[in-house]
Amino acid sequence: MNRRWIPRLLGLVIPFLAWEVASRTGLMHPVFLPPFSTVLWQVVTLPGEVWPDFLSTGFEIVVSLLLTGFSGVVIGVVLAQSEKLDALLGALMWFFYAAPLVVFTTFFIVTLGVGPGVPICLGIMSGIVFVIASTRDGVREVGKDLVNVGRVFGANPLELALRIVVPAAVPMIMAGLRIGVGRVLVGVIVGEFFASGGGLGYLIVRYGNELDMARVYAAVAWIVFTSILLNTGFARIERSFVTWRPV
Amino acid sequence: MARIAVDRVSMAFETDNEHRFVLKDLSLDIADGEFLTIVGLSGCGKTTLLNLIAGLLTPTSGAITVDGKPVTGPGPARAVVFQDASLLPWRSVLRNVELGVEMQKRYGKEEIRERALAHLETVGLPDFANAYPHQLSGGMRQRVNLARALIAEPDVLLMDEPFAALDAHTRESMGYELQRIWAESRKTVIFITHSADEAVTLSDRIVVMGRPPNGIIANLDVGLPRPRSMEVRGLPRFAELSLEIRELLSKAGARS
Ligand SMILES: Nc1ncnc2c1ncn2[C@@H]1O[C@H](COP(=O)(O)OP(=O)(O)OP(=O)(O)O)[C@@H](O)[C@H]1O
Ligand SMILES: [Mg+2]
Repeated sequence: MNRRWIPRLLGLVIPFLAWEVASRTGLMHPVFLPPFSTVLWQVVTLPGEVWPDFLSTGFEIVVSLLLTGFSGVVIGVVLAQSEKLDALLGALMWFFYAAPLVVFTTFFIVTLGVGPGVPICLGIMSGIVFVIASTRDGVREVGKDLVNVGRVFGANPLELALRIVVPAAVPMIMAGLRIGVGRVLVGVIVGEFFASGGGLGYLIVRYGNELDMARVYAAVAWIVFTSILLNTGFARIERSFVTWRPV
Repeated sequence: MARIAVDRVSMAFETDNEHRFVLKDLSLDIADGEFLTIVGLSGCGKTTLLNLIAGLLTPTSGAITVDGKPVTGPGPARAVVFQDASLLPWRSVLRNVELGVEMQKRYGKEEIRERALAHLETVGLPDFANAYPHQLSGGMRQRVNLARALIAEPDVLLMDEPFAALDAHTRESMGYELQRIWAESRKTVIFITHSADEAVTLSDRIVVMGRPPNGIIANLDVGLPRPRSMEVRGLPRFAELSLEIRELLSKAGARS
């Protein structure tokens, strides 16, 4: 039926084999590039070794995602109401979007201190722009007719938002969340690099300083897994959420 | 007492920095329980007038009152049956009907559900309560649209070409059903259509609108017996009225 998995598998196996050989033969220095099999072993054993760090990174990701989603949607809905407000805050949004995250770490360390607060805030800052922008655009596109339906049948502004406008914008909001998820994850890890005292990002820095590159790569592998998992998970939620089609 | 009074209403839209009047000093009285139909060429301002009465638009000048009270905004007392069904696609048929009443805080959840089911029965869709709008035909969607307006228990039903998108046969049977529902509830109805036959079949009175901003150019009492069955539609008076409307419209169209 589908034979594409053969080249796909080869595409994975060949680089890993080359990696293994390069490291074993000393072509690459084994300290900087430990053999693939060693790294793989670390990937398997790492969660058992440092499970509290996995937990705290997981916790930070979940909190960061929830806050990003909730406040992103609320701000997006508010911005959609007024062109002026949007213009005013739009510039600020582009600043968040374009400025390197690291700029904010110092600020957060000073205000929040070392701990999970920094990665959570950095996660929110990295992802929220996408949720805000797509919610705002989604809400703007909600048909005038649907809004009029709400007005005629007695919706107050809050009911209008919760029962008509936000549900109608759900496809766009979900698309924004899906993009935001990856950014939140990166933000959390970067936050942990600098100021957390725990978590996968923190471990990467520590192992790096100890030149324990096998563990560094193992931790990176786990971050990549999480990212893929979150992305496919979100794509699936997105699809199941939007079983209806626009009429 | 006139249920709805439109008193010298003008409506202008801002286009490219110029005021363009769609309605100018239009006056119209609609009696309690009357079925009034508005016919007119495309763009003559029928929807604008209906939206003004609904409270979705505010007139540039003039006043609209319902039972003596000025219209200041939209509300369920003047329920609109929208031109394209405008159902919420993420809600089931039943939940779409419930929307018509749920925000009035008049009934509890149970009661709302029962009423919604009863209204689906009224419009002939009891088996589709759990279907979603995209699974329905155009005619079925318009039935849901009508049920949503009826459940709001409005004093006035405002219907903007509700059957325009339907095939001739469905359209005719929807017309008969509307007659039946109207005969039972005796609500005041303002109905917009492009079809002269539909207007004569349904209405007590027909108002013909000319090119904007001419407003109302004719006011016709139908005076045919009800219910307007096939036989009634065969009466000479029916054909006369229908022809008269067509002539008025074509004259209004030619005078450009
Ligand atoms: N929001 C608006 N802004 C500017 N012009 C408008 C607006 N709404 C309506 N108009 C104009 O007012 C005129 C009357 O529109 P209206 O929708 O009331 O016509 P109608 O009689 O309902 O036509 P149809 O039979 O095609 O539905 C049209 O020329 C239209 O372009
Ligand atoms: Mg219209």
